[in-house]
Amino acid sequence: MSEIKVEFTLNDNKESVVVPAEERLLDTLRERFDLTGTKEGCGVGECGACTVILDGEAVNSCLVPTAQVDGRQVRTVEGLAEGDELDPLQQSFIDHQAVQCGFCTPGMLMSARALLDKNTSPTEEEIKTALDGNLCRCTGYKQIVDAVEAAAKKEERE
Amino acid sequence: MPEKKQVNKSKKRVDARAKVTGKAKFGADLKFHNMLYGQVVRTEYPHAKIININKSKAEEYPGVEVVMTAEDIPNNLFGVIIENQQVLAEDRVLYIGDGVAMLAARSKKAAREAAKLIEVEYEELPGVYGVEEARQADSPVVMPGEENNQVIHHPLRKGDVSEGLTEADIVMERKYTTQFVEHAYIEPEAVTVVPEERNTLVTVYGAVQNPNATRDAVANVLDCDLSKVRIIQDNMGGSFGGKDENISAMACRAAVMALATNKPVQLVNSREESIIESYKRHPYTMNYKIGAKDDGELVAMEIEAVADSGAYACQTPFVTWRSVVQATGPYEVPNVKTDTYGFYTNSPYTGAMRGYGSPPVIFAQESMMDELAAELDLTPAEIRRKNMFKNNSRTASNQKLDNHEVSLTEVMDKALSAIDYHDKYEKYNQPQDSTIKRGIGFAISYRGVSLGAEAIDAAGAIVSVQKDGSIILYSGLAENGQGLKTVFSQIAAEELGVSLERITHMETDTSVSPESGSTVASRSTLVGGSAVKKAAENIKTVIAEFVAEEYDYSGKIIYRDDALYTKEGERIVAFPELAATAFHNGVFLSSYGWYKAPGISWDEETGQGRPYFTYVYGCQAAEVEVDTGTGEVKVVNMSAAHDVGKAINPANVRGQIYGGAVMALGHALMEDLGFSKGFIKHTNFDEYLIPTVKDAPENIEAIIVENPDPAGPYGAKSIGEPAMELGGAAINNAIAQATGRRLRDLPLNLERVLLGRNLSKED
Amino acid sequence: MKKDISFYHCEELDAALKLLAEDNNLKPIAGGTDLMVEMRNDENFQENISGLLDITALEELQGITVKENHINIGALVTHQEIVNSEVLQEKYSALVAAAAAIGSTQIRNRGTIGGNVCNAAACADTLGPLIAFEADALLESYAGERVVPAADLVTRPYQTVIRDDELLKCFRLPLPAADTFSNFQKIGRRQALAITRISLALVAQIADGMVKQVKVVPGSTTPVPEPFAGVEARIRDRKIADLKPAEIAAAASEEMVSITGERWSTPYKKPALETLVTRALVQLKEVADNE
Ligand code: FES
Ligand code: FES
Repeated sequence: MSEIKVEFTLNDNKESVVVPAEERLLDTLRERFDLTGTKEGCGVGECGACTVILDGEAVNSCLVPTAQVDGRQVRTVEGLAEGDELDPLQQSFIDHQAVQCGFCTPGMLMSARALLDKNTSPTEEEIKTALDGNLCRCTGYKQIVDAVEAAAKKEERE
Repeated sequence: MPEKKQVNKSKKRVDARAKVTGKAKFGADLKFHNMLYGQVVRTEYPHAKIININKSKAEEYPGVEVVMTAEDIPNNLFGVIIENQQVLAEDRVLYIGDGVAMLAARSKKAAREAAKLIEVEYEELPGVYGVEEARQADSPVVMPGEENNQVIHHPLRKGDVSEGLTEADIVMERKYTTQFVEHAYIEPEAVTVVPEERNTLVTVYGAVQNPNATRDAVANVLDCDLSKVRIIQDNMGGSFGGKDENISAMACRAAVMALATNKPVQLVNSREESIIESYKRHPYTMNYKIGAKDDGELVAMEIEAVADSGAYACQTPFVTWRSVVQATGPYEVPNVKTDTYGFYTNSPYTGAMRGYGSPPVIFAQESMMDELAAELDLTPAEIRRKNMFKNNSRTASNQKLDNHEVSLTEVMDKALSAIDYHDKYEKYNQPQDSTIKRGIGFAISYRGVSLGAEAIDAAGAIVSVQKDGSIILYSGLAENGQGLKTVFSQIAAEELGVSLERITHMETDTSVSPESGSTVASRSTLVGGSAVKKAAENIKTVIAEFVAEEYDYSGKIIYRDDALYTKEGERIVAFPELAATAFHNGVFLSSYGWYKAPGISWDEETGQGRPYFTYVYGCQAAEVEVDTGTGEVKVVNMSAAHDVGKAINPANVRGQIYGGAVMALGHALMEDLGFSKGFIKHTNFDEYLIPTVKDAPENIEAIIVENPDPAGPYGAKSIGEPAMELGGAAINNAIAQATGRRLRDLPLNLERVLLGRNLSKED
Repeated sequence: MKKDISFYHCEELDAALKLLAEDNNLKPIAGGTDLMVEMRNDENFQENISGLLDITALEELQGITVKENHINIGALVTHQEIVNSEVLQEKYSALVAAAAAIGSTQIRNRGTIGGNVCNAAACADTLGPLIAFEADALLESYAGERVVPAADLVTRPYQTVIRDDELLKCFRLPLPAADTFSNFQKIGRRQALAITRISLALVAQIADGMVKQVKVVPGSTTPVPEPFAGVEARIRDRKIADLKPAEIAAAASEEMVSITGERWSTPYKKPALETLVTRALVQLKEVADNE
């Protein structure tokens, strides 16, 4: 039982992998699926660079054993855009200059996406709470919060 | 002046789309065929002799391809200023991050496990921790071969300080200290070295802040020609001055292993490895003695600022040089005696970090101005207005500020009014009932732009028009996340009158891009931007000749909307068509651009001269809420006004200001590596705390002040570092107003704010 | 070479308990927010266990259920579920506040109350309120069930009375009397993702201007969160109007020192704890005044 077969949905595709018990979802994504948009900044759940959406919730993929995602849905930054069509959050990050080095960006986007999927008109405080597990050393957060706010407004209108 | 189409506009970043889709590749995202994973073994003690290293068990571990120590490295020393940094420690480890051995294996897991099997026998040596000890005559000498621990001393003498102090009505003396600070870029360091790829000996890919500096180090260590080492930069997950020497060390290590195995070798640091190994911001101990008249006029300043260089010289000589220029702040002082020093210790080595040598001295001197004001019964604003530089003022180096607008009054007025400073200052001076008290404070600065007398200050770029009218741009200065590619693309687009989409800004590649010195000192827009502009101008000269011949027009050409027009507004030709026609006529539409900064001068003995060719000015204010029952501090509002000369991209400039202000907030309130006798206790983000979104002020008003500078492209100067050098002092001054107690040591943590002193665990 | 470990996923409580009974070295895993960090940081972690037992699907450990005289909070209930629960907000606001102050959104989405308590860090934020609300822990093994008061669950940092063959099934919290006041405060070094420097949970039952019952449980001040009996004696059965917050606060910091002795952090923790106790009592008085 030290090699575990895991079947799950990854960005809307059915996938199946065999992993050791201790393998982190972060490594499965980056190394087995080449989805390197999900980043590792700390490995201990403190930076949020590895954030993905698991069954609708933002989680740190460095703290999730892949073995636990059997039968579940995982969404990564690569699953946000549909073809060339960007997710409104992605577009809003571009429009609000919310990206500097870009290393925190995928995690920020996933935390924000999980929020907007549940709450279409979040307050500024709710946005900050949704992003409170995502460190950014470049932006001072201002343009990121602005970007999420604007995307929420846009999505609500549509 | 016709209106600009591309510059002075908040254009979207050219690299944003790749970054929001997750397609942008960072150092750790690369994979190569047959790639090996490297692992470094680091010392267990901050200072020790290496008695023996036994590699045999590791060598036998399945999957391991090579295990190496210092003796396997052709030339083990490197360094930008003084060559004394070890790639791997030879016989003595000097700080807790020194590597002693390394290996490469076919899987990460094998590399990690095998590394544990390397047996190192040490003899622990007593270490030198802290500059107080390091500067004693009888202190053990840290750096083998040196006579004492002094790395550098920069004196500055102006007027006669003892006479000045006797003339003063009041003389104040204060001591301030600042802490080691981690860059805390969210991306840990990563490099991959590919051996013998495309005519080179090694090609280095990764998070390299200064490709040419890393190339120098690798070529030096491999003992080969510069042309045989190629550095190609990947996206950088933040740097802030921090991915220079430590990345060079990693590149050297990976290069040696790649050549030994003839396979690509990747080295990626964990966060812990990053924090233990990487260099830090210098902690400073500063003694200030200020003499002033009763009306607040400054007559003398005597300053000693001592920086902890840690185990290596690294950038200490230059960092402390910036301190000597800025130590007196933006004030006219007739009599100045400043001495800045750097000393070796067995602490982590210290190097460049955003702000360089200025944030510590600004923290001290701008805190002290408030203390002096209080003593003289003046307001913080009054004492500053009385003394601050105006046009034609003379600095401590006796440089006359006469070639640009000295805009201190403007930045101060704008920052203070944006935060409603004066009313709040009055209000918070009244007794406050609650245990949660508010305060407001600010700080001002002047800052030399670019390298100054540190080094040759020139940069280059290549602008290359393809036959379909698309344009490739190569720059010697590198994108570190700050937005350089966007700004350079805007400049090229503006000059050639084309849309931004036509331009592709390539990664910096040392085999192609002109060597331009380092991407540091907030010099990119001014120095590098000027080079891009120059390259575009060169191309326009060629185009003008070609247009005269081919299109029979020799007047001034207007470049706009992807086409060329006569000065009367008649369209000559579309840009792509021009490019194609020129190509078919054998006309070469590519050019290097080179820009060399205006001259400067510096006298090492007296610190007099023209250290920088121009300066920027800034003011930041902070409003805080202090819980006087728990010591918690919340920065509620900040305002920041910065004269950037001219903003090429205002949204980017604001981004730099927000980011700089919040980074300064982190330094001021929470960042602490938990040092204990050379050991670092806080090695990951659970304990090394940086601000979260909830720690950032509710509001930061970013104000761009524009006084175009003759030296910069379109008048532009700089913003990256100015944005982070003021926050510490502003917050400290605000806390002092709220609590009525002046603190002089960073960080202003719970204990200091509540008790007025720090507590530490003695272990 | 790190040894291979096995991974079991159980849908049935019985099956899980059976596995635990057979193999004492199986480590239950739920949200993994502590365990995965430990596995990464502790070289020997993998050596010392035989495998992971994924308990996330066990229904008996899930959900918040209201019974006649008590409420059950399953061990698998996440911090976020606690934050979102209306019934908990209404009746156990100090517990909700503690859960809301934990880590980050990502951690609250995965981390569970069971895990928080079983990991038993001195700074585990939910344990204080659980003790203050006089919760019982229901432990179950293949051999049977036992009930342990939350206050007796943790013996020293990172050590609980839960046996290797047992699972923490849920916490059973008595329904608070109608006029129950509860308060939770936390001091950290930053506004999110902060380890607790000091916390305080205070629960008081009010009737006729008197404090009938009270629990005062500071966190991160003693090796294991425990009710401060001396402080409680100064509050219990007293008239609220007569309570002197500053005096009681001073007694609280004395009580802390009597447990821990003077330590390097004591000069900070004493005044800070006094602040928290004072504020909780001032708030209690305000609430009482308004009734
Ligand atoms: S890498 Fe997962 S939270 Fe930092
Ligand atoms: S943009 Fe660099 S860390 Fe956020």
